[in-house]
Amino acid sequence: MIALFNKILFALTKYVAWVGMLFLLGAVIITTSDVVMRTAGGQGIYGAIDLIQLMVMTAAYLSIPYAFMNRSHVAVSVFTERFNRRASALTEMLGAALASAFMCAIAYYGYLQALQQIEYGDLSMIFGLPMIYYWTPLVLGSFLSCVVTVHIFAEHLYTFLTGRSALAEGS
Amino acid sequence: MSITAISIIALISLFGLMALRVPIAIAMGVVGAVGGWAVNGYDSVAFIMGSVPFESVFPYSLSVIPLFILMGVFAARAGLSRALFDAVHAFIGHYRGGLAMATVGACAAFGAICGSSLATAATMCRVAMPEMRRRNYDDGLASATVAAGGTLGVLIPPSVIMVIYALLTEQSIGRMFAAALIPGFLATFLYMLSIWIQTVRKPELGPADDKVNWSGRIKAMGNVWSVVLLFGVVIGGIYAGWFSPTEAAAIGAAGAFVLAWAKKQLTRQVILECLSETATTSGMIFLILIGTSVFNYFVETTGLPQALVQFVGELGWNPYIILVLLIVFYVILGCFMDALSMILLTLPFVYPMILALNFDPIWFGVIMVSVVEVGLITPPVGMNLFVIMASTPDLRLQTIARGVVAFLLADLTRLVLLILFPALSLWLPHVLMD
Repeated sequence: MIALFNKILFALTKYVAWVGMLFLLGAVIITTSDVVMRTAGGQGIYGAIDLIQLMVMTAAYLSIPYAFMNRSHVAVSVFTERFNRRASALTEMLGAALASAFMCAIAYYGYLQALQQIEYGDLSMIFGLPMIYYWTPLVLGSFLSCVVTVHIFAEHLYTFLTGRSALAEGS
Repeated sequence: MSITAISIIALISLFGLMALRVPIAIAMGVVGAVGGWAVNGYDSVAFIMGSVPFESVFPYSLSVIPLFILMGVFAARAGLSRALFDAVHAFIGHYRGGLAMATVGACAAFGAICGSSLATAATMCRVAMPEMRRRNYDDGLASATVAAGGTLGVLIPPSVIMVIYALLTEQSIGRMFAAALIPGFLATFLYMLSIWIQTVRKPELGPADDKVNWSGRIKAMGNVWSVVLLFGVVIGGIYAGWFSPTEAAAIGAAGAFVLAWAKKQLTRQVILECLSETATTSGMIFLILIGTSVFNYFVETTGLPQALVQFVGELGWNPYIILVLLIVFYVILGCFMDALSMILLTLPFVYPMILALNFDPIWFGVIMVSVVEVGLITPPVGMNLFVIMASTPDLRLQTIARGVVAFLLADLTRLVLLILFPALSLWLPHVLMD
């Protein structure tokens, strides 16, 4: 069950991250086009900065769950590398639980802020994009990170209880 | 409970959580939020958790980070490392230790378009290690050369870590890049000098290779024009005032993509790998930025940095003694933590102290990046060492650690020179930007 869920989450976070990277490529195209148009004597792309901020915001927040899934978030392992499997699982559970709490807090309080943005109808400075566009990837990315970290917690809880890797049990 | 007591408990908790392998971003974020709650109450921390994660990603200036990462990832896949290695090798490969020196030179050139130590080490390792092994180079010298050469990826601009330092300390990215250029060349020279000294003392460490004739050299140079062009456009464009660092990063990413595509290196699979790698690194860096911002909110409310500045002022010590102590602290910390985390974790405390001591922030930035990069080749957690080991069969940590010692001495020499002669860092920004 955990192994199956791991596969599903891995695929989901990967595709979500790729969507984020498409936005980043969009930022590359807009910025490059803007520079070329300005250099050619034109005016550049109207509201380019607003668009780039939106695209980078989306790229960043949609990448964070994938980094969790890949266990790529930087940690100091020098003190725990001699721990046995169960003790390692315990420290991983602690990390996952705290990560889950932190990401859920970001998702929850971010969601409340996003609701306020809808209510006030705030717009971006130049292009006039609704600010809720900027909050949406934050809420989605942090919520997905929350799901991923709960999954990582469950995975290590299984290892802690059984002494076996949950991912090696097959789907 | 007093703020001092809360601060002490928070710092102990932070280091305790990090020692228990909690991701550094999470440890900083959680301690910052809980500490903030203890000091300022729930409403304050609720507001911070609702606003800081947005504000720490939203600013336009931060766009430069994933764009430079993307540029580095595409540059690493563009097949340029072989051409760079061959070009430098054509000129110095026939000297004793020439292949190792060529590796350092190629790392420096690759760092000029990559900006990541790990990517530089990993990419150059694939090219240089088999060549050096084929020519019977000592494994310790060969592997340590690639590991040390990889650190040039961060020192020679463009560099993601320098961008982050500049953004956090509100310094000009262009100035930081200019300040790092001469120290980067100095590091390259000192690494080559270290190899030369080693092979003079023990010629069997790095036998001389065949000499390449001038037509071969010209042909090899002809293959690296694209690297020169990409570096020239990105860095030259910033100083010529054609575009901002963010725009330079986007143009660099587009340029690196076009180069990789022109060299027929970009299959669908490779593009997806590039996007995955960029997503992983960007996600990791942005989460650290979010965690740091929450932690900074707590640190600012405690007044710890000001207390530290006051304490250091009351000591009445020579500022250079404090600087040397800071460097020793960073070298020790570098044995356990990665460069980015070290900078983000310590900057809220160290930076006000540096300003109070009247040190130039740009100069200190170069020194700080130089010092934290030493951590990349310092056992037991020197990441570059593990990158080389992962790509090289039958290479033991002891072997590479033995070889690294000579390069650490070169790093130490560079640090001493940078401290004694601040002009090494500050002259070029003055010439280019004042």
